[in-house]
Amino acid sequence: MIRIVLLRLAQAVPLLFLISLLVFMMAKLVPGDPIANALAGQLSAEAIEQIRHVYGLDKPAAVQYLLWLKNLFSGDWGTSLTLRAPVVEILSSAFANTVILTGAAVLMCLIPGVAVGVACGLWQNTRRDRLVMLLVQLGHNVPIFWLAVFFIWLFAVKLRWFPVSGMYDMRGDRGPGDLLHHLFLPALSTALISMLILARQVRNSVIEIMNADYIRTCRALGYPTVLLLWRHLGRNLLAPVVSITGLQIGYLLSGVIFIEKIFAWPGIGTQLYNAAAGQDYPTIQTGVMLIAACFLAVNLLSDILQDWLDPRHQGARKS
Amino acid sequence: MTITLFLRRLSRHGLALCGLFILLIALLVSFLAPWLSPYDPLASFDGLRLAPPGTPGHLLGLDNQGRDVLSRIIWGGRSLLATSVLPIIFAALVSLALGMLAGFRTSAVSELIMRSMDMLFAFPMVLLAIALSAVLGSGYLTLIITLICSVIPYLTRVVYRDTRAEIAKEYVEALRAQGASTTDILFREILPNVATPLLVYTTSLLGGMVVFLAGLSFLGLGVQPPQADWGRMVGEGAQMMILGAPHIATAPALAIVLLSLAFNWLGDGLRDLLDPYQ
Repeated sequence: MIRIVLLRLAQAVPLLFLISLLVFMMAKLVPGDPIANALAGQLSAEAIEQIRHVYGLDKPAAVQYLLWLKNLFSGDWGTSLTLRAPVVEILSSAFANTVILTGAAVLMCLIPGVAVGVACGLWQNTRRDRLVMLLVQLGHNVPIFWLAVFFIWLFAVKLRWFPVSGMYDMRGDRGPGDLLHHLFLPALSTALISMLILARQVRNSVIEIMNADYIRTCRALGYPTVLLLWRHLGRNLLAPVVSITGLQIGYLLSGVIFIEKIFAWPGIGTQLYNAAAGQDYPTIQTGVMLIAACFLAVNLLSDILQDWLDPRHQGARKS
Repeated sequence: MTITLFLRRLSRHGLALCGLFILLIALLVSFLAPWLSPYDPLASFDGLRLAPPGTPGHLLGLDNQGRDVLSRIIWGGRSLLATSVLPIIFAALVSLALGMLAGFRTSAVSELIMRSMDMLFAFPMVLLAIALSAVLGSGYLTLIITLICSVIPYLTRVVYRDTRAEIAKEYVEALRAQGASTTDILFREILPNVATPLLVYTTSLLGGMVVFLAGLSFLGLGVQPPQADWGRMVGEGAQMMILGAPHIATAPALAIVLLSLAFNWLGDGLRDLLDPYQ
């Protein structure tokens, strides 16, 4: 088991370096450099040269990359060009907010998704099953951004059950109740489509497992249904659920960036979006690296969990 | 399979026909927009701001700036189709070359290609779009590059897997024994076998990509105002929806869903029609 974990880690680390190279190169694609572009005409050439020296922009690109990487690892993420504050401060609170939203979305996706999937799998081809599967097919194509706006219109404007946007009430106590109240709609909008996809795949797994020979044997031997479901279906279902959830967390993380904009959720997506508008490269680079690293970590974790839950999966590589 | 046989099978596949029909309409309407649209998509009728669907002369109503929603929908498909269909064809060709190159022989090059694909997989593409919009500015170029980077890993992996599977089959060995050259095997035998699943997969993938691209425009990373664009229209209509005029955002959202469904249905149909083992 430890060997497998190490192997997976060894595969993930070079990927992270490749991504960091990509992120670094992106800022280098800009013609000229950000300092000269921003300050040309305002300062003399010597002053610009001096600022470039302070930021290390006069060094060769390879040296700049290594320096940047070193700073990234030691937690020195630079200063935001637009907010004039350390990137660490800006991103760490935003990141925490994004984790809250993503975590809530994962829960809202996982629990109903598995429940609906198992129910449909056991009631295969009944009217209820077909209805849910039709919803799944339709839901697959609904733009998440429109869905979010629709939820705001329905639940926040018409029914007034939930607030329209933000994370806390302006005059509220900023307590957990207030947070949950604000959290529900964005989490639901993020999770709904992934939940439908999860439900469908869980349904397929359930059908596959329930049609297996050993289940038929158990039934023929008069095994109680409850025990059958708990011991055989439940255990075998864990590995596919973990694998699908791992994949869906990736989608959820991307979805969260859309949703944050719509609900004005003060997370990393909103920060990145503002940073892009202000061409704030230090914030963009660090934020992108942060999310990409999370993405990789989630994939890694789900791979390792799968290996652990289903020994047949070990050694089987994806490509 | 001959063309006539293909067409006969297609005519019996309801969903595929439906998808094809929607797609053709979308293409035709976009192409003929200057002649079909009742009004200029940028002209505003000041007195009729936020008028609901069914207002005389304006079937789908007007938006907050008094622009005709129907005209904007007729014009707004152009950017989405242009940034999705053409770039994905390019991406499919690149993936075909990369996947076959990587799958044909195990070498350092194939390792490099497949690891780069892993990297693209591990990279959330919304972030790429945001970063690109900072570097290149928002617009067509950002959308197109994001789309190409999003689909190439998926398509290349499919081509790679199929190439590996074909190479291992007996008929390739038999051809080798008969003295067929590598280029002959690659282009005459492998290529047709790999291209068909690629076509099917690309079509299905387009469905999701259309929604994704519209989402980028929704965020303001794509087409810039005042140009009409479905994703952008949903974005601009979002505020109006909250204020009680849902038609401005919903009409273009329906158009996006229809186009996406059309690609999915067409992809499903192509899979059923072209798969000889069904």
